[in-house]
Amino acid sequence: MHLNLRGKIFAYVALPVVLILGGVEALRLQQLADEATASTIDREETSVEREARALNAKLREVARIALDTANFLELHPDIEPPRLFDLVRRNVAADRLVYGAAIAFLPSASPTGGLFSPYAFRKSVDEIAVMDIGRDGYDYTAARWQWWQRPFERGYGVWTDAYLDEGAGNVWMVTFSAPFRRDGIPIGVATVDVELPTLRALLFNAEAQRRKLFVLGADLRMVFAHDSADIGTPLQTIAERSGRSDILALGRKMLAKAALGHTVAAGWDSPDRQWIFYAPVVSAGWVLGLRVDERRVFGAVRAQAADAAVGLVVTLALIALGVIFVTRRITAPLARLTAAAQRVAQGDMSVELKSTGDDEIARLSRSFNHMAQAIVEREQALVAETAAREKIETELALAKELQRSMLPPAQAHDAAFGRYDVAAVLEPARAVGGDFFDYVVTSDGRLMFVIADVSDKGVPAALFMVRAHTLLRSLAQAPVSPSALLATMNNALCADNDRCMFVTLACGALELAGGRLELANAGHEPALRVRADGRLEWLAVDNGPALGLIENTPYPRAEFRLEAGDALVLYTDGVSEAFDPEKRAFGRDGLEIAVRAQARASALDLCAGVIAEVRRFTAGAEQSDDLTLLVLRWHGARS
Amino acid sequence: MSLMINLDASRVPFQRFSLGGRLDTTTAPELEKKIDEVLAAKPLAMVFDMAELEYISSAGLRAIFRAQKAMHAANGEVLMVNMQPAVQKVFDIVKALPLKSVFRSVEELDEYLDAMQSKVREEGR
Repeated sequence: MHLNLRGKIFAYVALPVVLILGGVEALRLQQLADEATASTIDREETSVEREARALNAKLREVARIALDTANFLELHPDIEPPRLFDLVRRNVAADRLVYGAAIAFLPSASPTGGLFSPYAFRKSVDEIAVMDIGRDGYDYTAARWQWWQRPFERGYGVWTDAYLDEGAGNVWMVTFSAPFRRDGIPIGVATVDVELPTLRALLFNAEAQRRKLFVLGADLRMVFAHDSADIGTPLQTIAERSGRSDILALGRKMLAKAALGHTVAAGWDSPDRQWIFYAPVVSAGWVLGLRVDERRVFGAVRAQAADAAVGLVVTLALIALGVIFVTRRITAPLARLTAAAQRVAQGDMSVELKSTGDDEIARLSRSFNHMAQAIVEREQALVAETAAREKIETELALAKELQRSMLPPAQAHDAAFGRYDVAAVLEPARAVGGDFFDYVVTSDGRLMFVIADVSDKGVPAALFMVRAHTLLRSLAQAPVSPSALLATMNNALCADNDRCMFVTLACGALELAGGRLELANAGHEPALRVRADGRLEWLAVDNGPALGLIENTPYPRAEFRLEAGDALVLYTDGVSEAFDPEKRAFGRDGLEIAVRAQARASALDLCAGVIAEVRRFTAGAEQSDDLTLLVLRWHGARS
Repeated sequence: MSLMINLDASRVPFQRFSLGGRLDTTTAPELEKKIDEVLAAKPLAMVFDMAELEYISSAGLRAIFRAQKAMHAANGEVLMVNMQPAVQKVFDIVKALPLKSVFRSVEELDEYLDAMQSKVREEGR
């Protein structure tokens, strides 16, 4: 993934901070919410357990009346029947909760020898009526009466399920029934009835109403509930009514567990989820439950968590905004730098970056300004340098032209009589050089020719060449022998020559009428004679020193006689010391071979041929020295 | 190839250059500069050992001649030894060296220098 700097700072700094902070905060919130939930559950469970204990205590209190009566009857088996009616009346009066109390005998063991059951009940608020249930032939031993059947089945006092007492005014009630024995055999039961609406009224308060309290009997029937209409309603009916089969299973679960607990389910009568906290009512085998809407229990906790979450999100958003702001401040100068660099690249040197402070960006900006300034200066210097060089080049080109114009044409022949041909090539190693050649036909009919090479090359050599050449021209005006010419030139050049510039020079004078050749040599390469028949001959001349070094030196003269058709080849060391790329010199041998190949050609062709051979030999290697070749051919005295 | 210059001034009052490589237009100024430095010490003789010198151009010749001229002006001498044939030939053509200043071997040169030194001592007495 390619991120720009801003993205990187954001990804590597802000994102981890946001993630860590957010993670830690979210975890903390989760813990807070969990703790709040746990403490709420704890509180609700404690509350429901307290309710269940209170109910249980009340039931025990009431049950105690029946148990005591059963004990009394066992201790007083011979009690007279009328006393029994007093006993049940006292039992009803004993507790406000008691609606009715009875003592029922097994018909076989009753004082009357048949169905006998004294019964007292609250006829109205302050009137307790007494009657014998069995007197009217009412068979209380029938299987449907739990209060009769259950104690016999179990052998101890027990609560009935809730039932509708149709006989005594259609009231839902539960009955505690305790057996009593004679000679160890149960012969009857003592009972107390509790009217469920009364029990409910005792237990219920506004809080219970609000929290949807209910008491579920072991027969899965509502003992009572917050909705008073639900008294005695089977849980199945409620489940069917609300289309919630799970309610029945829930009831079974609560009863089976017979311990404090809680569960969560979709609301029975509310769109919200409901928490059910429940606890057993031990003595009756009931479950007391509180059905609470989730919103009601955890609303505060949830709201608190939501607030904290909003706060967290806002904090993180602020951090992100801050980072964006900071990175923008950091990267904006970089963007300006980039733009400035592009402008500089396009040649706009007026770029000047503002730089305040002493941070890295400011320092970079200053460096950039320095750089741009340096580029400007260097460019100006380059322009000036280029101008200067162009000026020098122009001057050198002019100097070259001037120097060339001092020399005679590169090719000449005797127009009047056809006695000679001359051809020359001069190629300076640089723009100007120190080589020169000259030839002139003197008034006494001689062809005087010179080839010379000033030490070194370039401008210094060129200046000295001009000096030497000018000297030569002025001296050659008069009829003079080559050796005398050299001696005079030497003395003149020795003067004022601290740098020890020198000229090697070969000078000849050919009598055009007869072929007599006089040569003198001042430290120069010898001349090569090319005979008409092609034979080559180096013309040995006793050399004098190069001109300009040793004053007052004689220059010996040598004499030869040319034959018609002979040619002379004179050269400077640019020819003999032309180097190939492997630094091997062309040499006199190379010259001989090149000349031999063109031995009978005209002076011009011979000259061109040798130069071509030198070019081929050097094969593009840099020309190391000024190169001059002078060829002349004598055709004889054709007068 | 460039020029190698080695200066041995251990034997006063002589200055001995050992040259190697090519002495041409490019490298001659370097030698001239060294020569000028040596001239300031006013040696009795300046020796060029050319055993390793492969090539000399007219610019190189000029540097030698210039040294020679300066030495002569101060009553000193320029001496040369161990010239290779190619270099010898260049000097021969230009013909501007006194014959006695060129030695074929170091032994001959040393003999000459010894004689020169003793002569100076005698004159000093």
